[in-house]
Amino acid sequence: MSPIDFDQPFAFAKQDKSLHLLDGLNYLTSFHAGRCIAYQRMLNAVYGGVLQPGCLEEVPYLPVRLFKHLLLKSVGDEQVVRKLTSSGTTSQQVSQIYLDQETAQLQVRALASIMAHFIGKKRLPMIIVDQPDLLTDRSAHNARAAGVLGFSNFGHHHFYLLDSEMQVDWSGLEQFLACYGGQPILLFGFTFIVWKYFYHASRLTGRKFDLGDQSILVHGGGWKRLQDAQVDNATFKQALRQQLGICHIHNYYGMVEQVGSIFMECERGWLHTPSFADVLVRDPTTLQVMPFGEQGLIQVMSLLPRSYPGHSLLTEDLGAILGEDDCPCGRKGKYFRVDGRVPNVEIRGCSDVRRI
Amino acid sequence: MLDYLIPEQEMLAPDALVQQLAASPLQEPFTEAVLTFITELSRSILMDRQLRGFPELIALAHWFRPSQLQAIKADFELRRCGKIHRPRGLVFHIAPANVDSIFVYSWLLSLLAGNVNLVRVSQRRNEQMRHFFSKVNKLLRDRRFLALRQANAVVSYGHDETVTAQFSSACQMRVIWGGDDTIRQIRAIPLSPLATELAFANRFSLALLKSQAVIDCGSEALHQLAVDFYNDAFWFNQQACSSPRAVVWIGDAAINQTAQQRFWPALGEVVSSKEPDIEPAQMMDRLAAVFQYAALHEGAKVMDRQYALLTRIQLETLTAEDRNLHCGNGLFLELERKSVSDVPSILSPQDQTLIHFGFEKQDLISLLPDIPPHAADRMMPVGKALDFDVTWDGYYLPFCFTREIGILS
Repeated sequence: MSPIDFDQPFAFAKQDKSLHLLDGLNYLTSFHAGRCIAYQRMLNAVYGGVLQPGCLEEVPYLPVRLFKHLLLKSVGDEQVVRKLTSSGTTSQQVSQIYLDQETAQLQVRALASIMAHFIGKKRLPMIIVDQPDLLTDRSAHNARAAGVLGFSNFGHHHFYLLDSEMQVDWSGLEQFLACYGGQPILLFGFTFIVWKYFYHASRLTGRKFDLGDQSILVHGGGWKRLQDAQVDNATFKQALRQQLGICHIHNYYGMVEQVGSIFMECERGWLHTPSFADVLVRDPTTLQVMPFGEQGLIQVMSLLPRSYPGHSLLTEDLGAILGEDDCPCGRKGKYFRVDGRVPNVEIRGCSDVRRI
Repeated sequence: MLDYLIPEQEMLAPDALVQQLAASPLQEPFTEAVLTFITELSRSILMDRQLRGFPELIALAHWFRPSQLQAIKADFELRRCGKIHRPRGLVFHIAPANVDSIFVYSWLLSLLAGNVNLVRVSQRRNEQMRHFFSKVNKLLRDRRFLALRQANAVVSYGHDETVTAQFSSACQMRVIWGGDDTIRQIRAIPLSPLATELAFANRFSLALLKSQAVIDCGSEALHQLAVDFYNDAFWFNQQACSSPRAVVWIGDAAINQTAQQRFWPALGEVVSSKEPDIEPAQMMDRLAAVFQYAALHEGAKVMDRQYALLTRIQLETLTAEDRNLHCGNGLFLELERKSVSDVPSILSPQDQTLIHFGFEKQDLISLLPDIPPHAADRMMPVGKALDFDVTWDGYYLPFCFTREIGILS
């Protein structure tokens, strides 16, 4: 497959992007089929062989949940440099993703390519809204640690805002702002942690901050717990601007099964696909691809996974594609929204082994 | 601490409850008072138009209708051959987390046997069960049933092993309905030395279809077969222990294929017309399971993957892992064998019901010498898989819930 162009992640319109993407995904399908027996068997059983379709819609996909149940990798153990796991707070089983050197490097380059588009190429003084002691073992990371590690590449003089008890270091924050206030500042954190441990803590203790009109927060990890508290993206942004003076806020949609090729929220509030990744939306019951604008299950595709067959995954998230190449923000590619997880339903039957 | 579903507004702490139950007198099996109580309960459910929308509840009330109660009693009289049976005492029933109605069969059969009953149900409950509890409580307000009110309790409580231990040490019999993990956990909690236990674990069920018989069906018979199969498989969304999850075709390869080409479209038509409630989350469960089977089985083949309401996957073998992986939701594991004599080698102790079509009773009996222990506790014709019976998982419950007293003079 031709090398991935990381220089211009949002420059290519449908015609150029889809050919390149299809070519790469088809290559990855046969690449992984030759190296992962379980993947090969699934292709044979479900799709009738190693498909090389002529359109993105027909690229074989796996349900993302399989990484919780099956060991899926396409490299030998000696080539594995890192194991990623999902945070797994609500389910007993976690996803396990095995990275080789090449995939890990591609992930770093992909994330850098996307981030440069939103914050510029220069490293910025950085506040990490999390604990410093997440990163103890460098060979295995859960999703939270992987996120912190990945995004810390875009900052310098990292200040970890929370201690190991998830309490804000207020005086540390004041010192940080005394040094870098008025300059561009990068903040990174998980959506729920930013909300509960930074925003809420500052409300409760009656502290207001002004991080300045050049402050940028990048946050991700899902809205489930905020939805439970009835906080949507607009509320989130407004609250953080008022209480903390954070001016630029970008959510991203990403998952431990496809680290690197994240989907960042643009200035208009839509999530964008970079040139090396894409999304489709499928009808939850028929699994047919749905037209733009209609809500269904999100399928994510990425050219990065080389060490595991995760280049085309059907998620359990609902969302809708809003358009392609014509977002008012000027970025090319599809743009979409995520509406949350498929709601769980009560399980009936005698087997109470599976708890939801 | 204890949340009382029955009787209403009860406040007793666990130790006081145990004391009250232990002090309650036992009844003879099948006393008039108990028969009247159950008859009136059944009638109050069947007569309530508001409950028409709750088919499980209706089926339950129908099962305990007066003629059925008389039949159970007559069968009991016949079986005991003049021997004397007395209730065991305090029976502690532990209901499964997610089949709402099963505890009712367990409880009412034990009540018929004359026992004092303590039932633990899960903290999650649906509207159907709320209606059931309210019907029972209404009846228990009647002075005629005061003794029953004091001798029966249905409670729920959180994960509190000390309460379970207290109830377990006080009871004469413990009945556990639940998944394998639940049964293991509860079995670790001791009973009193004289107490006994019945455990109804998670089971798996298969359909045996004789391909030639399916081919020989006229269109009406084929439709009836599909409707019956639909009821077995989709009534509890294929999640009851007795719902067919695997289908074994018996015949030569070419005949099997012809039979499949007749059967599945006929079932598909019924499924489409009945529109069972399959939520997106259940679709995802099914889809993930399909891929897992594919990963585990060389040569597996998925049929009808995109068909919204059911999926088939053809396998060569059926392992214990395959049985545990199955999550219902309209997924059928399909196997083929030449002759019915090849069936015992497929079976495992987990297999509860063989749902059959096209076989003589003698064919089915001929399987028995070669099957593993526990396998095939029931063999039911298509359409009857979910019928509850006083004999369950091989236990004739009216005898299990009583003790036989030998008297020689």
